[in-house]
Amino acid sequence: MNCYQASALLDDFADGRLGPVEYEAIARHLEECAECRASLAATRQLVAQLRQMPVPAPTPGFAERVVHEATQGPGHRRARRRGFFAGVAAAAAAGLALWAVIGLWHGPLTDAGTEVGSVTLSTHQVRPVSLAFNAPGDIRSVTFSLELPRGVQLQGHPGKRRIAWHGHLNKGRNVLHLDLIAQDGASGDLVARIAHRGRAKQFRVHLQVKAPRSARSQPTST
Amino acid sequence: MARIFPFQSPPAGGITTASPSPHAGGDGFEDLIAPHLERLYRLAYRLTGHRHDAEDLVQDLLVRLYPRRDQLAALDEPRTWLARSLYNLHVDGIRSRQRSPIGLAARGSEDLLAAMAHSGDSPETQTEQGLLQRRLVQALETLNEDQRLVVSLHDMEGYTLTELETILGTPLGTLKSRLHRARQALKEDLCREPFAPTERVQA
Repeated sequence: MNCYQASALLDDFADGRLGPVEYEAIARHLEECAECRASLAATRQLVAQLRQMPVPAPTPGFAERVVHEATQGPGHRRARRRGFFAGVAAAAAAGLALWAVIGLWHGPLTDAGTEVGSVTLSTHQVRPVSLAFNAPGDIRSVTFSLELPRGVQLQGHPGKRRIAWHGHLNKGRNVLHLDLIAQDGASGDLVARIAHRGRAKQFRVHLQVKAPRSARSQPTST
Repeated sequence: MARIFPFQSPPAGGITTASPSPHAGGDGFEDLIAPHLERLYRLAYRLTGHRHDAEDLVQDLLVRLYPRRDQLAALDEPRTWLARSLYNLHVDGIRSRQRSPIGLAARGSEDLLAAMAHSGDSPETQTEQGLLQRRLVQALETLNEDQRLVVSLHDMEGYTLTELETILGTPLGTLKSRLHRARQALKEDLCREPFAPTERVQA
């Protein structure tokens, strides 16, 4: 067996999918070939690392909740967020989308960022806000970050005012869907920042927060 | 009635074949599905890349399964069947939203990074392991969807290629070649940049 033949079977060897005859043949080749041994070792190391990739625990009460929902009927299902990037159609249908269609990376970073609109939140109520980003092409390795004003949080991320993650943008329109909840006395701007290849753009969404009729705080805006 | 399902530990004893109770109502369903919930959630997380989307996906599956619980109870080997049902539901969801350009930018990196921060035994292990995992997250981003799917389900979640053939409806040969290419790409990516800066960007 030569290296070309062996390389086609190394994955099967590493994963234990080979029958005795092929197993023996590969094992003999590996004894003689340092290169294939190194390749096998690298595969095993990679797979060991992949096995360790964590999964975040579900939110508390998940198991009881899903069983209860399934057996007891719809209840409050679907009242929750649907992910960072959710369908445009859903947001648009709800009449709640705020569109910011922006050509990215065609200008210098401005300190204040571009204001793309204003949204009114009612305290303690989930307010979906969608931002659309037009990318000129597929853009990999983008760093996204969100800064929330005091008293405003992203549903599912209590107490976090700054959230950052890595990802990529697809060519065309990309939609960032955010479910915001404001506390009493909240005010300020939401800042979305997108960085790529040492350049960044910032967009600000002005958040006006008003209290429902009976709440304590004054309607607030900045 | 409500029970606490252990989410921290793997399900004990592998698959328990469900023995449908003669009066199988809501409680019978709970007994049927409980041994599979952790695995379904993990699979959903690998598919969606986000904890809440994963929970929603499992929720949707259970809502659809409940009226078919007798069918579920009759299965000797529900694991693959459940996984395939979950995967199909995920794909249906994507298709139904296809007119919208779904950006995959979020892809759960934030959840994943948070989970990493809580894994590891000692601070040293945590740092070293965390660094490796961060690099791996970056490398995984460079794979195409098909490659990432097979790596996630085979190498991270331990489904066999034979199981994946059924779950994904993809021929074995195709799966093998995707797995091989994905691993090659990941190995090359990890070898090339032993100390990739976190802000690494590429042309």
